[in-house]
Amino acid sequence: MLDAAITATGEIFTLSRMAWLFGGVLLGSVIGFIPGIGGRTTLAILLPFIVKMDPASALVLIVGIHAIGNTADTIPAILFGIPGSTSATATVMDGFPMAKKGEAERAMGASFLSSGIGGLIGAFTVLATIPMIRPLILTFGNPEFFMTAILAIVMIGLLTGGAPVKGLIVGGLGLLIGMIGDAPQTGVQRWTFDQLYLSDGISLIPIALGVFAIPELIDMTLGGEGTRIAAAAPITSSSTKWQGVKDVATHWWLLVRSSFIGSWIGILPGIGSSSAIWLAYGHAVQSGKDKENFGKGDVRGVIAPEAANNASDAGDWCLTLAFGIPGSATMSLIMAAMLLLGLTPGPKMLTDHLHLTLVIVWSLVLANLMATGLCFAFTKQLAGITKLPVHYLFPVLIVLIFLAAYQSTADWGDLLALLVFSVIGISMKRLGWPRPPLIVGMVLQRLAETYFFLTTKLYGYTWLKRPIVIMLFGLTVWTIIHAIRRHAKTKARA
Amino acid sequence: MSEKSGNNLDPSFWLSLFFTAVIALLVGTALRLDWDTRLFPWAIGIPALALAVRQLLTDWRGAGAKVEQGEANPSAGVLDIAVDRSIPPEEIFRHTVRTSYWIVTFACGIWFLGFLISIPLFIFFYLIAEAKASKLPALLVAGFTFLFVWGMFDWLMHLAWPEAALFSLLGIKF
Repeated sequence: MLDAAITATGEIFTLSRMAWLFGGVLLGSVIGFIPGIGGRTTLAILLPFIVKMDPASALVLIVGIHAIGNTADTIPAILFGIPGSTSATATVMDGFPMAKKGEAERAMGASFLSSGIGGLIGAFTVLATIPMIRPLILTFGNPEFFMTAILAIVMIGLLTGGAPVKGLIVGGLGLLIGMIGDAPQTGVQRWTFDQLYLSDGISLIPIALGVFAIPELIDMTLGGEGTRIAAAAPITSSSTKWQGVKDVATHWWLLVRSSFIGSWIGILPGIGSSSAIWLAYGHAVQSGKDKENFGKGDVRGVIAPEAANNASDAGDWCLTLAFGIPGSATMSLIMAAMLLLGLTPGPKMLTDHLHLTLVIVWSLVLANLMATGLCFAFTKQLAGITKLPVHYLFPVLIVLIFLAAYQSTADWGDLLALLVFSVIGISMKRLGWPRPPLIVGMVLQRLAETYFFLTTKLYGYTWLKRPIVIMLFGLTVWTIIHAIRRHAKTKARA
Repeated sequence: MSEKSGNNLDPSFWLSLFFTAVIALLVGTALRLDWDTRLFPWAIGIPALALAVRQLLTDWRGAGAKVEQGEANPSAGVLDIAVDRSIPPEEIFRHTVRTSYWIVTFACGIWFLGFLISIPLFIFFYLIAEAKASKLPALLVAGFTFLFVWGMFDWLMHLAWPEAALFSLLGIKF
């Protein structure tokens, strides 16, 4: 561990790696806070370019892009009530009323500092849990990993909306699409229909771009040619952002609690920051002595979700690195990038590639510091981009998406896949079908199938008697029952 | 778009039907594969097919709209971007078709003229027609994007561009 830590420190503190990290933070800040675009799209667009880099530099760049996303997406949420991503929705509740009261910079000051500290607490949580995770992983064999993959798909399928059956169908479909091409164990071609393009399977990049990026871009331009992403809103005097810093110091215990909520939620597969922020916000409301100001511009309503948001990212990383299970759609993209780089997220990241895992932890710490500093310094300038007409952004982004899709295998099939999955993505979004399980299913397919094959070949039916398998199976059943009950309650209320 | 009106089927039914057909096709054609190769596809595909058929029947009966009301609950929208239901579905549909037209036109442009020519043309005409931009800013945005794409993908990365149909037809190397 110590050797790996020294190697990681040596790898991260070089001029080129620091430049990649800062470049990632800068790029993530430029695109990350434009509503509807966010870090997920940035990562999807950059995937083909990242795979040509050396693994450590690529990971540093990915962390840089990803880390600032959850910090920067609060700018439009606070200034204009437009969340930069779903992870900033809770911040709107009190951040926007603060802006309307002339306390925009105070809210941003509190938000950036909470994000930064939350991210640091999350990163150190990851670091602290690595020694505990290693022995845990040693108790995991092929059957346990297979069941964990199934649990993750079930959880993501069930927790992505009020339609659990749809989530499971989409997750299953993602797994099936992932199976197109060579079967990993037998080498037999599956569902290629004599098409050369399908023999290697459909690339994840055009699918991710089609399912996520295109539908969001189309919705961005809904308001007509004069539409601005953000409406004009004055920023109050710069001195008030320091009031936000003081607010964070005053409510430090809430910040710490919210960060731990975020870290814990991030570790659970499929839940992600979108629910961590609401849990933290709910906790802030429940634990607050005076609750009447929540929703009207209470700074605690900004501190809690922002801390949880960035902390959950670190938990997400922990899950992805240690178990090879992405805790969110963004993490599934990052996992895809790692696979393309020749790194298999999972136990080997804690043994063979421990130094790279520690490079990621270091990068998380540094990227959070850079992101906080950058947002503090350039709040006004960054916010200006959201005032550009969306119709100027749209064609440029479409061009980048097409290039990114084509880049993945330089085949016409990628462009066709992009168009087909764009139609599917648009239909899914419009008709209330959850999209993340499709990507998660695709990403987890190879892992799940490999462990399934090894499990059935090595253990026969005896694997079903293993204690952790029984526990994971029970958890899977409980998740399904819980989702069905919650869905029934939602339907009854509707 | 999501509400059932009169005797019309819920639009969600057609997507359910599509997913059911795709899963059924994959499960059915897996029959030709050997046992080891089809084991996992069936282990996943058969339960997925059962759920898809159940969803299809639900949508057939018109319960899809109720399900979607459940999804409108903010706490239920985890891990996905909420759909803006304040805009009439007809308007969203018209806008989607119109924007898709531009995207498909761009794709056809790539096939016919290649990436490097269709990129500035697409940006220029989109800005003129949709953003109602004047010619100079449209030219500037198109020009800068072209320079960025050419500089990064052609000059720096030497990306192998797909052969354009027009130049193949004319026998010109571009």
